[in-house]
Amino acid sequence: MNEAIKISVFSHIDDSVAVMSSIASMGAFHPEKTDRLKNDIIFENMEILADLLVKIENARGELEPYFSGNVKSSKTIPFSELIETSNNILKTFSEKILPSLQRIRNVEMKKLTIKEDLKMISNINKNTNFGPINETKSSFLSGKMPSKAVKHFQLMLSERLPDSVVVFGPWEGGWDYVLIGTSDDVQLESLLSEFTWIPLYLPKIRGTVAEFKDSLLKENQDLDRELSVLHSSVLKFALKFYPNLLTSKEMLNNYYKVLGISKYAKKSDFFILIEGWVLKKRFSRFKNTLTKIEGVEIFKEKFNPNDAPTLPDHPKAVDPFYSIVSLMGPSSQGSIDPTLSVSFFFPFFFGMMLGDVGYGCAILFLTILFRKQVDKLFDLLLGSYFSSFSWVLIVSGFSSVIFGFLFGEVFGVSITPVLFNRFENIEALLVSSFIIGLIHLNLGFLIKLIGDIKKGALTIITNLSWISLQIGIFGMFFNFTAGLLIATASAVLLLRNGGLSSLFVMFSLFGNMFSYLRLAAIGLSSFGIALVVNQLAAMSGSAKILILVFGHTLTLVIGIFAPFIQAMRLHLIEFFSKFYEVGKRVFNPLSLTHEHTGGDLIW
Amino acid sequence: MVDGLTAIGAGLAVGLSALAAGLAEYGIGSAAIGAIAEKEELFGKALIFTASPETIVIFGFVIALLILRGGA
Repeated sequence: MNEAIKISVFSHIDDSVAVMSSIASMGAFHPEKTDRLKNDIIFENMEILADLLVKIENARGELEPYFSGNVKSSKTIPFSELIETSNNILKTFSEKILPSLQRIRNVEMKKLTIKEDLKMISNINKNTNFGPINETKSSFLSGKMPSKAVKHFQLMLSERLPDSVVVFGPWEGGWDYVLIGTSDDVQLESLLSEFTWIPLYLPKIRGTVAEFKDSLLKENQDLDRELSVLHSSVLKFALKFYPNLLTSKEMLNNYYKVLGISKYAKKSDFFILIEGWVLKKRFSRFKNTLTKIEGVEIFKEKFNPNDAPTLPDHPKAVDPFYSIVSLMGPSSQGSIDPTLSVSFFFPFFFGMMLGDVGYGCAILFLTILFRKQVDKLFDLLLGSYFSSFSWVLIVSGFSSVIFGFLFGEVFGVSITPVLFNRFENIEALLVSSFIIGLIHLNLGFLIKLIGDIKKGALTIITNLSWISLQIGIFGMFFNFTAGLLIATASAVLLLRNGGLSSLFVMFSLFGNMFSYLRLAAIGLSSFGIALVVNQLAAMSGSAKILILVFGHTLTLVIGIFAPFIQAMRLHLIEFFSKFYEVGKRVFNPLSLTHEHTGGDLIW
Repeated sequence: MVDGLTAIGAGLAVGLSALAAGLAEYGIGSAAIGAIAEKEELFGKALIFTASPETIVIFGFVIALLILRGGA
């Protein structure tokens, strides 16, 4: 892992903005709150910036659905000019675009109401005339009641409220709708309290239902025409204003980030102090750039390595595999980043378990076709580190194809294997799983050993003893006396260094070794399920294709899920437990965004 | 007779270990759901832990295979 060191930056109070700007633009500094000085640094511009940023972002969000196309990169403009420009953009937006957007919202709401009304009245007899209720009575109530109760209710209504007008009609599922118009609200309420009925929204209809429906459809057409005019006007505005909003937002955000460093910093009467972390390998460059500002002093501070943030250190090509490591949390300072080994062993395990040319090709094809959706799904389920997990699936699918040829399997059908048929050579499969497990576990011990040597820790003998213990035990099969001697010596060393807890770890090590037998077991079971699907299809005659498609789709889902979980488990539990030490946090440097803007910030 | 007993033995090896895994996953699964409800980012770890007891079935399955191969 990339190691970070703690530093403190002192500068004259007049240069605070220049220093913070330089720190943020380098993108190499992870700030941390300092308690060595007491006075907070307050910039008046912070509030103005925050307010503008929120308003610009809201406006951008409103116009986003109406914009399509690319935004040209523009040069960062000076701070005061940016504030003025942003205010002008907002003014134009609220005067010219916002009223149209608000009208679009109102029209869309109105259209929704019409849609609901049309849906409601579709259940009512078209010739029913609601005129008398709406036109003559002060109260209008609607609801639905069981059809069986209608006659009884009508009778009660004519006795107790002779002036009321009531309209009934069939609704659905043994219910009738009922509308009552009366001028005696009190009597109506007392009558209704004796009945249990469900209040129902019905539009206030004048005339017949058919007339009302016609008027609704006409209104809907008018609204559609208005909406189309409004949309084309907003689209024109969006084409012109959206890029401005986007670039202004980015620039405001960058200025805000710079001033935001003040949340971590403190000041005295003459100078400011900013504390934080810089990667060891970037320290000299960081120092050289910053000390170009007159009066800036940088000091290395003492720190506890366990408190230091760490940054994964692996080639960019294997970055998607870091997602699996990330499930353990950030590693501690000085640990070795295992992503490279994960990028080999995860697809290897996945492929060995699935081991089918057909399923491998299906995974490859589907993942390539739905890459964005796959990434989104994994991001949602397992977090942002999984946002490019489709690459892991693509490599794993490819590995499944290779193992499929090695084991001679295509959708559960045996072809000539390059290596051996899994079902006919179970012993060979179990032994190879076991040996692969041993290699994987010992790689874990080796990583731990290298890490300890780098840290200068005194656990080298213990690490070597774990490896020699295994060599001794398996050496016994070839030369019993020599193997026994090596194993006993290793066990004694382990017990001496680690105490009785080593005994427990020894047993768990054997458990770990046997755990790799899942590579064989999961593979056999997925092959078995595919075999059953094929046999079922062969027996079923006309439904053959249906069973084949349904069965193999189901097997494919299981075929992805089981190896994914098991390969992950072999890494997280068996492999990482040998060397991975969880740290406290990830190195997260402050950085400016230059997606649509370029150049330096000018204060 | 021997074939029948072999099959019963293999069935028991898988069946009983599957029952044990089911029991273990029941406890872990409930706790995992509780943990995810409190902290969504634990989903990944919870998934792994929930799948951990499957090792028992895998051992059962391997034993069943060995029984069947020995008995064949």
